[in-house]
Amino acid sequence: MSCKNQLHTLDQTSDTGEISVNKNIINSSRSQSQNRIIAELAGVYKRYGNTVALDGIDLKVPGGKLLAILGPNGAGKTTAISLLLGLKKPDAGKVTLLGKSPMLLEARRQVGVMMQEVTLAPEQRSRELIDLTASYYPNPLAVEEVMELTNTTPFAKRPYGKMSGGQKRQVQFAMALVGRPRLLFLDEPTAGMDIQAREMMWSIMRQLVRGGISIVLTTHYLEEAEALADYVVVLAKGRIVARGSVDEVRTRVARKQISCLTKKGVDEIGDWPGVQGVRKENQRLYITVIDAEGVVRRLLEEDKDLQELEVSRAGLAEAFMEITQEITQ
Amino acid sequence: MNNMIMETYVNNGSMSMSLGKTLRAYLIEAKYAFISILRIPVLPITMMALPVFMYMLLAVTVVSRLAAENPNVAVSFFSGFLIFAVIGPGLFGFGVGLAIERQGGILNLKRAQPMPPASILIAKMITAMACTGFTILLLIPTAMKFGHLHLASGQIVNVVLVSIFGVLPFCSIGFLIGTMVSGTGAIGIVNLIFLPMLYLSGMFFPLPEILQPWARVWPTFYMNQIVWSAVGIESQIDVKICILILLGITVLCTGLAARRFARVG
Repeated sequence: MSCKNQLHTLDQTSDTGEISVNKNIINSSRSQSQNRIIAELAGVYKRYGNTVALDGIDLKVPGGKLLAILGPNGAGKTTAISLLLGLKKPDAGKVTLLGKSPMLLEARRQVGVMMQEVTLAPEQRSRELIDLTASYYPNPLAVEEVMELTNTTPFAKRPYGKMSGGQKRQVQFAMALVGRPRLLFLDEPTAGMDIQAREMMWSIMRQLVRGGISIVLTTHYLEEAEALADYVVVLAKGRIVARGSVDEVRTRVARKQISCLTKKGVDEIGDWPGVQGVRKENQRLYITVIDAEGVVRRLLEEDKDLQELEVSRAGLAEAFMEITQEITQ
Repeated sequence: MNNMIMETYVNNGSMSMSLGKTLRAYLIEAKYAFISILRIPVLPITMMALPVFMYMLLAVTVVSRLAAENPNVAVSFFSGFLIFAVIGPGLFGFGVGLAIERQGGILNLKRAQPMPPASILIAKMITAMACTGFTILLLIPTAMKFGHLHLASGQIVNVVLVSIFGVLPFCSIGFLIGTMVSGTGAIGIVNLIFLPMLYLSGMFFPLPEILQPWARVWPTFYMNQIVWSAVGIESQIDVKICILILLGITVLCTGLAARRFARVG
Protein backbone atom coordinates (compact mmCIF):
# COMPACT_ATOMS: atom_id res chain seq x y z
CA MET A 1 0.00 0.00 0.00
CA SER A 2 1.45 3.34 -0.92
CA CYS A 3 2.04 5.97 1.67
CA LYS A 4 -0.48 8.27 0.05
CA ASN A 5 -3.16 5.63 0.05
CA GLN A 6 -2.75 5.19 3.77
CA LEU A 7 -3.48 8.81 4.46
CA HIS A 8 -7.09 9.37 5.24
CA THR A 9 -8.58 12.71 5.84
CA LEU A 10 -10.55 12.44 9.01
CA ASP A 11 -13.72 13.99 10.17
CA GLN A 12 -13.46 17.34 11.79
CA THR A 13 -13.84 17.98 15.47
CA SER A 14 -16.74 16.12 16.97
CA ASP A 15 -19.47 17.47 19.23
CA THR A 16 -17.48 16.42 22.27
CA GLY A 17 -14.60 18.60 21.17
CA GLU A 18 -12.37 15.70 20.32
CA ILE A 19 -10.78 15.10 16.97
CA SER A 20 -12.71 12.30 15.34
CA VAL A 21 -11.18 9.55 13.31
CA ASN A 22 -12.60 7.81 10.29
CA LYS A 23 -14.59 4.90 11.75
CA ASN A 24 -13.63 2.38 9.07
CA ILE A 25 -10.01 2.95 9.77
CA ILE A 26 -10.46 2.65 13.51
CA ASN A 27 -12.24 -0.65 13.06
CA SER A 28 -9.67 -2.11 10.72
CA SER A 29 -6.88 -1.12 13.03
CA ARG A 30 -8.69 -2.33 16.12
CA SER A 31 -9.28 -5.72 14.68
CA GLN A 32 -5.59 -5.99 13.97
CA SER A 33 -4.28 -4.86 17.29
CA GLN A 34 -6.78 -5.69 19.99
CA ASN A 35 -6.51 -8.90 21.96
CA ARG A 36 -2.86 -8.96 21.05
CA ILE A 37 0.23 -8.50 23.17
CA ILE A 38 2.26 -5.95 21.31
CA ALA A 39 5.34 -5.86 23.55
CA GLU A 40 6.44 -7.94 26.48
CA LEU A 41 8.97 -8.32 29.25
CA ALA A 42 8.96 -11.97 30.35
CA GLY A 43 10.78 -12.85 33.56
CA VAL A 44 13.19 -9.97 33.12
CA TYR A 45 15.99 -9.23 35.54
CA LYS A 46 18.28 -6.24 35.29
CA ARG A 47 20.99 -5.10 37.71
CA TYR A 48 23.30 -2.11 37.80
CA GLY A 49 26.18 -3.23 39.98
CA ASN A 50 24.63 -4.18 43.30
CA THR A 51 21.38 -2.38 42.58
CA VAL A 52 18.48 -4.48 41.35
CA ALA A 53 16.59 -2.40 38.79
CA LEU A 54 14.13 -5.07 37.69
CA ASP A 55 13.53 -8.17 39.75
CA GLY A 56 12.03 -10.76 37.43
CA ILE A 57 9.07 -8.82 36.10
CA ASP A 58 6.45 -9.92 33.60
CA LEU A 59 4.93 -7.00 31.75
CA LYS A 60 2.61 -7.23 28.78
CA VAL A 61 1.67 -4.25 26.63
CA PRO A 62 -1.81 -4.91 25.22
CA GLY A 63 -2.64 -3.93 21.66
CA GLY A 64 -4.86 -0.90 21.16
CA LYS A 65 -4.74 0.14 24.82
CA LEU A 66 -3.03 2.77 26.88
CA LEU A 67 -0.84 1.26 29.57
CA ALA A 68 0.42 3.62 32.27
CA ILE A 69 3.55 2.56 34.11
CA LEU A 70 3.68 4.28 37.48
CA GLY A 71 6.13 4.16 40.31
CA PRO A 72 8.29 6.33 42.52
CA ASN A 73 11.74 7.45 41.35
CA GLY A 74 14.08 4.48 41.12
CA ALA A 75 11.23 1.98 40.82
CA GLY A 76 12.52 0.63 37.50
CA LYS A 77 10.24 2.44 35.04
CA THR A 78 13.03 3.85 32.90
CA THR A 79 14.84 0.51 32.85
CA ALA A 80 11.67 -1.27 31.75
CA ILE A 81 11.14 1.21 28.91
CA SER A 82 14.82 1.07 27.92
CA LEU A 83 14.60 -2.71 27.64
CA LEU A 84 11.44 -2.53 25.55
CA LEU A 85 13.14 -0.06 23.23
CA GLY A 86 16.27 -2.17 22.88
CA LEU A 87 18.46 0.44 24.56
CA LYS A 88 19.53 -2.09 27.17
CA LYS A 89 19.78 -5.86 27.32
CA PRO A 90 18.26 -7.84 30.19
CA ASP A 91 20.51 -9.89 32.45
CA ALA A 92 17.90 -12.65 32.23
CA GLY A 93 14.48 -13.04 30.68
CA LYS A 94 13.05 -12.22 27.29
CA VAL A 95 12.03 -8.94 25.68
CA THR A 96 9.85 -8.78 22.59
CA LEU A 97 8.66 -5.75 20.67
CA LEU A 98 5.98 -6.33 18.05
CA GLY A 99 6.93 -9.97 17.95
CA LYS A 100 10.61 -9.32 17.37
CA SER A 101 13.72 -8.46 19.31
CA PRO A 102 13.70 -4.73 20.10
CA MET A 103 17.29 -4.64 18.87
CA LEU A 104 15.98 -5.07 15.32
CA LEU A 105 15.33 -1.94 13.29
CA GLU A 106 12.25 -3.57 11.78
CA ALA A 107 10.65 -3.70 15.22
CA ARG A 108 11.59 -0.14 16.12
CA ARG A 109 10.27 1.18 12.81
CA GLN A 110 6.80 0.56 14.26
CA VAL A 111 7.52 2.54 17.39
CA GLY A 112 7.39 6.24 18.22
CA VAL A 113 9.32 7.56 21.18
CA MET A 114 9.11 10.62 23.36
CA MET A 115 11.80 10.70 26.02
CA GLN A 116 11.87 13.02 28.95
CA GLU A 117 15.53 13.74 29.40
CA VAL A 118 16.65 14.70 25.93
CA THR A 119 18.38 17.91 24.97
CA LEU A 120 17.88 18.20 21.25
CA ALA A 121 20.18 20.37 19.13
CA PRO A 122 19.26 23.95 20.14
CA GLU A 123 20.08 25.37 16.70
CA GLN A 124 17.76 23.02 14.81
CA ARG A 125 14.26 24.17 13.99
CA SER A 126 11.22 22.17 14.93
CA ARG A 127 10.32 21.37 11.34
CA GLU A 128 13.83 20.09 10.70
CA LEU A 129 13.77 17.86 13.76
CA ILE A 130 10.49 16.32 12.66
CA ASP A 131 11.70 15.98 9.07
CA LEU A 132 14.87 14.20 10.21
CA THR A 133 12.87 11.80 12.39
CA ALA A 134 10.46 11.12 9.51
CA SER A 135 13.40 10.03 7.34
CA TYR A 136 14.04 7.07 9.68
CA TYR A 137 10.63 5.51 8.93
CA PRO A 138 9.45 3.66 5.82
CA ASN A 139 5.96 5.20 5.66
CA PRO A 140 6.02 8.48 7.55
CA LEU A 141 3.29 11.08 7.65
CA ALA A 142 3.89 14.34 5.84
CA VAL A 143 5.75 16.71 8.14
CA GLU A 144 3.23 19.53 7.62
CA GLU A 145 0.33 17.24 8.54
CA VAL A 146 1.85 16.12 11.80
CA MET A 147 2.81 19.70 12.67
CA GLU A 148 -0.74 20.83 12.08
CA LEU A 149 -2.09 18.00 14.19
CA THR A 150 0.22 18.73 17.11
CA ASN A 151 -0.15 22.52 16.87
CA THR A 152 3.55 22.97 16.17
CA THR A 153 3.09 24.81 12.85
CA PRO A 154 3.27 28.26 14.52
CA PHE A 155 6.82 27.59 15.65
CA ALA A 156 7.97 25.50 12.70
CA LYS A 157 10.95 27.77 12.07
CA ARG A 158 11.83 28.49 15.66
CA PRO A 159 15.14 27.05 16.90
CA TYR A 160 14.55 24.34 19.45
CA GLY A 161 16.69 26.14 22.02
CA LYS A 162 14.40 29.17 21.93
CA MET A 163 11.17 27.30 22.63
CA SER A 164 9.36 27.04 25.94
CA GLY A 165 9.34 23.73 27.80
CA GLY A 166 5.79 23.00 26.66
CA GLN A 167 6.59 23.78 23.01
CA LYS A 168 9.57 21.45 23.16
CA ARG A 169 7.32 18.65 24.42
CA GLN A 170 4.89 19.34 21.55
CA VAL A 171 7.73 19.06 19.03
CA GLN A 172 8.89 15.83 20.62
CA PHE A 173 5.33 14.54 20.45
CA ALA A 174 5.24 15.37 16.75
CA MET A 175 8.54 13.52 16.32
CA ALA A 176 7.05 10.49 18.06
CA LEU A 177 3.99 10.51 15.80
CA VAL A 178 5.55 11.28 12.43
CA GLY A 179 6.64 7.70 11.75
CA ARG A 180 3.03 6.50 11.93
CA PRO A 181 3.86 4.15 14.81
CA ARG A 182 1.82 1.22 16.03
CA LEU A 183 3.21 1.62 19.52
CA LEU A 184 4.04 4.90 21.23
CA PHE A 185 6.30 5.27 24.24
CA LEU A 186 5.56 8.56 25.97
CA ASP A 187 7.71 9.47 28.94
CA GLU A 188 6.22 12.37 30.92
CA PRO A 189 4.65 13.75 27.73
CA THR A 190 2.83 16.72 29.24
CA ALA A 191 5.50 17.94 31.68
CA GLY A 192 5.73 21.73 31.43
CA MET A 193 2.73 22.08 29.13
CA ASP A 194 -0.06 24.59 29.56
CA ILE A 195 -3.61 23.29 30.00
CA GLN A 196 -4.62 23.88 26.40
CA ALA A 197 -1.64 22.01 24.97
CA ARG A 198 -2.13 19.20 27.47
CA GLU A 199 -5.77 18.82 26.52
CA MET A 200 -4.78 18.72 22.86
CA MET A 201 -2.26 15.99 23.54
CA TRP A 202 -4.71 14.00 25.64
CA SER A 203 -7.31 14.25 22.89
CA ILE A 204 -4.88 12.94 20.29
CA MET A 205 -3.79 10.13 22.59
CA ARG A 206 -7.40 9.06 23.17
CA GLN A 207 -8.08 9.09 19.45
CA LEU A 208 -4.97 7.11 18.66
CA VAL A 209 -5.96 4.44 21.18
CA ARG A 210 -9.47 4.32 19.74
CA GLY A 211 -7.83 3.87 16.36
CA GLY A 212 -5.97 0.80 17.59
CA ILE A 213 -2.62 2.35 18.44
CA SER A 214 -0.99 1.16 21.66
CA ILE A 215 0.54 3.64 24.07
CA VAL A 216 2.90 3.10 26.97
CA LEU A 217 2.78 6.12 29.22
CA THR A 218 5.01 6.94 32.14
CA THR A 219 3.93 9.95 34.13
CA HIS A 220 4.18 11.56 37.52
CA TYR A 221 0.80 13.23 36.96
CA LEU A 222 -1.48 10.58 38.36
CA GLU A 223 -4.55 12.43 37.18
CA GLU A 224 -3.14 11.97 33.67
CA ALA A 225 -2.95 8.21 34.13
CA GLU A 226 -6.40 8.23 35.73
CA ALA A 227 -7.86 10.15 32.80
CA LEU A 228 -6.23 8.17 30.01
CA ALA A 229 -5.11 4.72 31.05
CA ASP A 230 -6.90 1.49 30.22
CA TYR A 231 -4.42 -0.41 32.35
CA VAL A 232 -2.05 0.61 35.09
CA VAL A 233 1.09 -1.10 36.29
CA VAL A 234 2.66 0.12 39.50
CA LEU A 235 6.36 -0.60 39.94
CA ALA A 236 8.28 -0.37 43.18
CA LYS A 237 11.81 -1.57 43.87
CA GLY A 238 11.96 -3.33 40.53
CA ARG A 239 8.78 -5.35 41.04
CA ILE A 240 5.23 -4.99 39.83
CA VAL A 241 3.22 -4.33 42.98
CA ALA A 242 -0.15 -3.65 41.38
CA ARG A 243 -1.68 -4.05 37.96
CA GLY A 244 -5.08 -3.85 36.39
CA SER A 245 -7.53 -1.21 35.26
CA VAL A 246 -7.56 2.12 37.08
CA ASP A 247 -10.67 1.01 38.97
CA GLU A 248 -9.10 -2.31 39.93
CA VAL A 249 -6.02 -0.60 41.30
CA ARG A 250 -8.11 1.94 43.18
CA THR A 251 -10.25 -0.73 44.79
CA ARG A 252 -7.17 -2.36 46.23
CA VAL A 253 -7.00 0.53 48.59
CA ALA A 254 -9.20 0.78 51.64
CA ARG A 255 -8.92 4.55 51.85
CA LYS A 256 -11.82 6.81 51.08
CA GLN A 257 -12.17 10.53 50.92
CA ILE A 258 -14.80 12.57 52.75
CA SER A 259 -15.40 16.16 51.80
CA CYS A 260 -17.80 18.60 53.46
CA LEU A 261 -18.39 22.10 54.75
CA THR A 262 -17.99 21.97 58.52
CA LYS A 263 -17.13 24.16 61.44
CA LYS A 264 -14.77 21.54 62.81
CA GLY A 265 -11.08 22.36 62.54
CA VAL A 266 -8.39 20.58 60.56
CA ASP A 267 -6.29 19.81 63.64
CA GLU A 268 -9.21 18.45 65.62
CA ILE A 269 -10.37 16.05 62.93
CA GLY A 270 -6.80 15.05 62.23
CA ASP A 271 -6.63 13.50 65.71
CA TRP A 272 -9.71 11.30 65.22
CA PRO A 273 -9.20 7.55 64.90
CA GLY A 274 -9.32 6.29 61.31
CA VAL A 275 -8.33 9.67 59.85
CA GLN A 276 -5.17 9.63 57.79
CA GLY A 277 -5.06 13.19 56.55
CA VAL A 278 -7.03 16.42 56.46
CA ARG A 279 -6.69 19.49 54.29
CA LYS A 280 -8.81 22.56 53.73
CA GLU A 281 -9.44 24.13 50.36
CA ASN A 282 -11.86 27.03 49.85
CA GLN A 283 -13.67 26.42 53.16
CA ARG A 284 -14.10 22.77 52.24
CA LEU A 285 -12.46 20.01 54.25
CA TYR A 286 -11.02 16.96 52.54
CA ILE A 287 -10.51 14.06 54.91
CA THR A 288 -8.71 10.89 53.91
CA VAL A 289 -9.98 8.01 56.01
CA ILE A 290 -9.86 4.27 56.43
CA ASP A 291 -13.11 3.99 58.40
CA ALA A 292 -15.41 6.24 56.37
CA GLU A 293 -18.63 5.20 58.11
CA GLY A 294 -17.30 5.88 61.61
CA VAL A 295 -15.89 9.28 60.69
CA VAL A 296 -19.11 10.33 58.91
CA ARG A 297 -21.17 9.29 61.90
CA ARG A 298 -19.02 11.34 64.24
CA LEU A 299 -19.04 14.35 61.91
CA LEU A 300 -22.83 14.34 61.78
CA GLU A 301 -23.08 13.96 65.55
CA GLU A 302 -20.64 16.75 66.36
CA ASP A 303 -21.64 19.28 63.71
CA LYS A 304 -25.37 19.67 63.23
CA ASP A 305 -24.75 22.36 60.57
CA LEU A 306 -22.56 20.16 58.42
CA GLN A 307 -23.27 20.63 54.69
CA GLU A 308 -22.45 19.16 51.28
CA LEU A 309 -21.18 15.86 52.61
CA GLU A 310 -19.56 13.64 49.98
CA VAL A 311 -17.80 10.31 50.34
CA SER A 312 -15.72 9.01 47.47
CA ARG A 313 -13.42 6.11 46.88
CA ALA A 314 -9.70 6.83 46.88
CA GLY A 315 -8.31 8.20 43.64
CA LEU A 316 -5.40 6.68 41.80
CA ALA A 317 -3.08 9.09 43.58
CA GLU A 318 -4.12 7.81 47.01
CA ALA A 319 -3.94 4.22 45.81
CA PHE A 320 -0.50 4.80 44.37
CA MET A 321 0.72 6.36 47.60
CA GLU A 322 -0.60 3.54 49.73
CA ILE A 323 0.66 0.74 47.52
CA THR A 324 4.15 2.14 47.11
CA GLN A 325 4.39 3.06 50.80
CA GLU A 326 3.59 -0.52 51.75
CA ILE A 327 6.46 -1.74 49.59
CA THR A 328 9.05 0.83 50.59
CA GLN A 329 8.36 0.60 54.33
CA MET B 1 -9.23 22.71 16.27
CA ASN B 2 -12.38 23.00 14.18
CA ASN B 3 -10.62 23.17 10.86
CA MET B 4 -7.98 20.67 11.70
CA ILE B 5 -7.42 17.82 9.30
CA MET B 6 -6.06 14.75 11.00
CA GLU B 7 -4.26 11.87 9.42
CA THR B 8 -4.72 8.35 10.54
CA TYR B 9 -1.80 6.50 11.95
CA VAL B 10 -2.79 3.10 10.71
CA ASN B 11 0.33 1.69 9.19
CA ASN B 12 -0.01 -1.39 7.09
CA GLY B 13 3.03 -0.72 4.93
CA SER B 14 6.22 -2.74 4.86
CA MET B 15 8.60 -2.14 7.72
CA SER B 16 11.67 -2.60 5.56
CA MET B 17 13.35 0.46 4.11
CA SER B 18 14.11 0.56 0.42
CA LEU B 19 17.65 1.46 -0.61
CA GLY B 20 16.40 4.83 -1.83
CA LYS B 21 14.73 5.66 1.49
CA THR B 22 17.79 4.52 3.44
CA LEU B 23 20.02 6.68 1.26
CA ARG B 24 17.64 9.59 1.77
CA ALA B 25 17.88 9.14 5.56
CA TYR B 26 21.68 9.35 5.32
CA LEU B 27 21.49 12.45 3.12
CA ILE B 28 19.05 14.23 5.42
CA GLU B 29 21.21 13.45 8.43
CA ALA B 30 24.24 14.89 6.63
CA LYS B 31 22.22 17.91 5.47
CA TYR B 32 21.18 18.85 8.99
CA ALA B 33 24.68 18.21 10.33
CA PHE B 34 25.95 20.79 7.81
CA ILE B 35 23.15 23.21 8.64
CA SER B 36 24.01 22.94 12.33
CA ILE B 37 27.61 23.85 11.60
CA LEU B 38 26.57 26.85 9.54
CA ARG B 39 24.27 28.05 12.33
CA ILE B 40 26.87 27.76 15.07
CA PRO B 41 29.97 28.72 13.14
CA VAL B 42 32.17 29.59 16.14
CA LEU B 43 33.68 26.13 16.59
CA PRO B 44 34.27 25.31 12.92
CA ILE B 45 35.62 28.77 12.21
CA THR B 46 38.01 28.43 15.13
CA MET B 47 39.02 24.97 13.98
CA MET B 48 39.50 26.12 10.41
CA ALA B 49 41.01 29.56 10.99
CA LEU B 50 43.44 28.69 13.77
CA PRO B 51 45.87 26.56 11.71
CA VAL B 52 45.88 29.07 8.85
CA PHE B 53 46.31 32.05 11.18
CA MET B 54 49.12 30.41 13.16
CA TYR B 55 50.81 29.29 9.98
CA MET B 56 50.76 32.85 8.66
CA LEU B 57 52.35 34.17 11.83
CA LEU B 58 55.16 31.64 11.64
CA ALA B 59 55.51 31.87 7.88
CA VAL B 60 56.15 35.60 8.00
CA THR B 61 58.43 35.52 11.01
CA VAL B 62 60.33 32.22 11.01
CA VAL B 63 59.61 29.97 8.04
CA SER B 64 60.62 32.42 5.33
CA ARG B 65 64.06 32.84 6.93
CA LEU B 66 64.64 29.14 7.60
CA ALA B 67 63.27 28.03 4.25
CA ALA B 68 65.88 30.13 2.49
CA GLU B 69 68.55 27.95 4.15
CA ASN B 70 66.74 24.59 3.86
CA PRO B 71 63.81 24.14 1.43
CA ASN B 72 62.55 21.14 3.41
CA VAL B 73 61.69 23.48 6.27
CA ALA B 74 58.91 24.96 4.14
CA VAL B 75 57.45 21.51 3.54
CA SER B 76 57.92 20.52 7.16
CA PHE B 77 56.01 23.50 8.52
CA PHE B 78 53.32 23.20 5.89
CA SER B 79 52.85 19.52 6.66
CA GLY B 80 52.69 20.20 10.41
CA PHE B 81 49.99 22.82 10.07
CA LEU B 82 48.12 20.76 7.52
CA ILE B 83 47.93 17.91 10.03
CA PHE B 84 46.94 20.42 12.70
CA ALA B 85 44.03 21.34 10.41
CA VAL B 86 43.17 17.66 9.89
CA ILE B 87 43.12 16.70 13.57
CA GLY B 88 40.82 19.52 14.75
CA PRO B 89 37.59 18.53 12.96
CA GLY B 90 38.23 14.84 13.72
CA LEU B 91 38.89 15.10 17.43
CA PHE B 92 37.08 18.27 18.44
CA GLY B 93 34.31 18.49 15.83
CA PHE B 94 33.53 14.80 15.72
CA GLY B 95 34.63 13.45 19.10
CA VAL B 96 33.63 16.28 21.40
CA GLY B 97 30.48 16.97 19.37
CA LEU B 98 29.43 13.35 19.67
CA ALA B 99 30.14 13.27 23.41
CA ILE B 100 28.02 16.40 23.94
CA GLU B 101 25.14 14.88 21.97
CA ARG B 102 25.48 11.66 23.92
CA GLN B 103 25.40 13.55 27.20
CA GLY B 104 22.22 15.35 26.07
CA GLY B 105 20.50 12.04 25.35
CA ILE B 106 20.19 12.65 21.59
CA LEU B 107 22.03 9.48 20.69
CA ASN B 108 19.86 7.44 23.03
CA LEU B 109 16.76 8.87 21.39
CA LYS B 110 18.13 8.12 17.93
CA ARG B 111 18.95 4.57 19.01
CA ALA B 112 15.38 4.14 20.19
CA GLN B 113 14.13 5.63 16.96
CA PRO B 114 14.93 3.53 13.93
CA MET B 115 17.85 5.69 12.80
CA PRO B 116 20.00 3.81 10.28
CA PRO B 117 22.86 2.65 12.48
CA ALA B 118 25.73 4.56 10.91
CA SER B 119 23.93 7.62 9.59
CA ILE B 120 24.88 10.07 12.34
CA LEU B 121 28.48 8.88 12.23
CA ILE B 122 28.74 9.15 8.47
CA ALA B 123 27.10 12.59 8.59
CA LYS B 124 29.65 13.78 11.10
CA MET B 125 32.54 12.23 9.16
CA ILE B 126 31.45 13.97 5.96
CA THR B 127 31.14 17.26 7.83
CA ALA B 128 34.62 16.85 9.33
CA MET B 129 36.03 16.02 5.88
CA ALA B 130 34.37 19.10 4.39
CA CYS B 131 35.71 21.36 7.15
CA THR B 132 39.20 19.99 6.58
CA GLY B 133 38.94 20.36 2.83
CA PHE B 134 37.94 24.00 3.22
CA THR B 135 40.84 24.69 5.59
CA ILE B 136 43.35 23.06 3.28
CA LEU B 137 42.12 25.13 0.37
CA LEU B 138 42.95 28.19 2.46
CA LEU B 139 46.24 26.83 3.77
CA ILE B 140 47.75 25.82 0.41
CA PRO B 141 47.64 29.28 -1.23
CA THR B 142 48.76 30.85 2.06
CA ALA B 143 51.77 28.52 2.19
CA MET B 144 52.59 29.11 -1.47
CA LYS B 145 52.35 32.88 -1.04
CA PHE B 146 54.09 33.37 2.31
CA GLY B 147 55.77 30.07 3.18
CA HIS B 148 58.09 29.45 0.24
CA LEU B 149 56.13 26.32 -0.64
CA HIS B 150 56.21 25.26 -4.26
CA LEU B 151 53.64 22.68 -5.35
CA ALA B 152 52.73 21.49 -8.82
CA SER B 153 49.03 21.15 -9.57
CA GLY B 154 49.24 17.33 -9.25
CA GLN B 155 50.84 17.69 -5.83
CA ILE B 156 48.07 20.08 -4.74
CA VAL B 157 45.49 17.46 -5.69
CA ASN B 158 47.45 14.80 -3.75
CA VAL B 159 47.67 17.00 -0.68
CA VAL B 160 43.95 17.83 -0.73
CA LEU B 161 43.00 14.15 -1.08
CA VAL B 162 45.42 13.06 1.64
CA SER B 163 44.03 15.73 3.97
CA ILE B 164 40.39 14.93 3.38
CA PHE B 165 40.80 11.19 3.84
CA GLY B 166 43.37 11.76 6.58
CA VAL B 167 40.54 13.04 8.79
CA LEU B 168 39.09 9.55 9.11
CA PRO B 169 41.55 8.03 11.61
CA PHE B 170 41.17 11.09 13.82
CA CYS B 171 37.38 10.89 13.51
CA SER B 172 37.58 7.28 14.66
CA ILE B 173 39.71 8.27 17.67
CA GLY B 174 37.19 11.05 18.37
CA PHE B 175 34.36 8.55 18.02
CA LEU B 176 35.96 6.27 20.60
CA ILE B 177 36.49 9.15 23.04
CA GLY B 178 32.97 10.43 22.36
CA THR B 179 31.41 7.11 23.30
CA MET B 180 33.45 6.75 26.48
CA VAL B 181 33.31 10.09 28.28
CA SER B 182 30.85 12.91 28.84
CA GLY B 183 30.78 16.08 26.76
CA THR B 184 32.71 18.11 29.30
CA GLY B 185 35.15 15.26 29.94
CA ALA B 186 35.75 14.84 26.21
CA ILE B 187 37.12 18.38 25.84
CA GLY B 188 39.75 17.64 28.47
CA ILE B 189 40.66 14.23 27.09
CA VAL B 190 40.95 15.52 23.53
CA ASN B 191 43.21 18.36 24.64
CA LEU B 192 45.27 15.85 26.57
CA ILE B 193 46.08 13.87 23.43
CA PHE B 194 45.84 16.67 20.86
CA LEU B 195 48.95 18.60 21.88
CA PRO B 196 51.24 15.58 22.43
CA MET B 197 50.03 14.21 19.11
CA LEU B 198 51.17 17.40 17.40
CA TYR B 199 54.48 17.92 19.09
CA LEU B 200 55.71 14.47 20.12
CA SER B 201 55.40 13.08 16.62
CA GLY B 202 58.25 15.34 15.55
CA MET B 203 56.33 17.23 12.90
CA PHE B 204 57.32 20.72 13.90
CA PHE B 205 60.64 20.39 15.66
CA PRO B 206 63.34 17.72 15.75
CA LEU B 207 62.80 15.58 18.81
CA PRO B 208 65.50 14.77 21.37
CA GLU B 209 67.12 11.43 20.61
CA ILE B 210 65.40 9.73 23.54
CA LEU B 211 61.94 10.68 22.24
CA GLN B 212 62.53 9.90 18.58
CA PRO B 213 61.51 6.19 18.70
CA TRP B 214 58.32 7.17 20.53
CA ALA B 215 57.24 9.47 17.71
CA ARG B 216 55.97 6.39 15.92
CA VAL B 217 53.39 5.83 18.64
CA TRP B 218 51.35 8.74 17.29
CA PRO B 219 49.14 8.49 14.19
CA THR B 220 50.25 12.00 13.24
CA PHE B 221 53.73 10.62 12.57
CA TYR B 222 52.37 8.37 9.80
CA MET B 223 50.14 11.11 8.47
CA ASN B 224 53.20 13.35 8.25
CA GLN B 225 55.03 10.72 6.22
CA ILE B 226 52.12 10.50 3.79
CA VAL B 227 51.98 14.29 3.35
CA TRP B 228 55.72 14.39 2.65
CA SER B 229 55.30 11.73 0.05
CA ALA B 230 52.36 13.60 -1.48
CA VAL B 231 54.53 16.68 -2.04
CA GLY B 232 57.32 14.60 -3.57
CA ILE B 233 59.73 14.19 -0.67
CA GLU B 234 60.93 10.75 0.26
CA SER B 235 59.31 9.47 3.46
CA GLN B 236 61.13 7.61 6.24
CA ILE B 237 58.70 4.68 6.05
CA ASP B 238 57.01 3.15 3.04
CA VAL B 239 53.81 5.14 2.48
CA LYS B 240 51.80 1.95 1.99
CA ILE B 241 52.74 0.88 5.51
CA CYS B 242 51.73 4.31 6.83
CA ILE B 243 48.36 4.03 5.08
CA LEU B 244 47.85 0.53 6.47
CA ILE B 245 48.67 1.68 10.00
CA LEU B 246 46.22 4.60 9.79
CA LEU B 247 43.63 2.30 8.27
CA GLY B 248 44.20 -0.14 11.14
CA ILE B 249 43.73 2.64 13.70
CA THR B 250 40.52 3.68 11.95
CA VAL B 251 39.10 0.17 11.89
CA LEU B 252 40.14 -0.61 15.46
CA CYS B 253 38.84 2.61 17.03
CA THR B 254 35.62 2.59 14.97
CA GLY B 255 35.02 -1.06 15.84
CA LEU B 256 35.55 -0.52 19.57
CA ALA B 257 33.44 2.63 19.56
CA ALA B 258 30.63 1.05 17.52
CA ARG B 259 30.54 -1.90 19.91
CA ARG B 260 30.31 0.39 22.90
CA PHE B 261 27.77 2.62 21.17
CA ALA B 262 25.53 -0.37 20.43
CA ARG B 263 25.78 -1.73 23.98
CA VAL B 264 25.80 1.38 26.11
CA GLY B 265 24.74 4.20 23.83
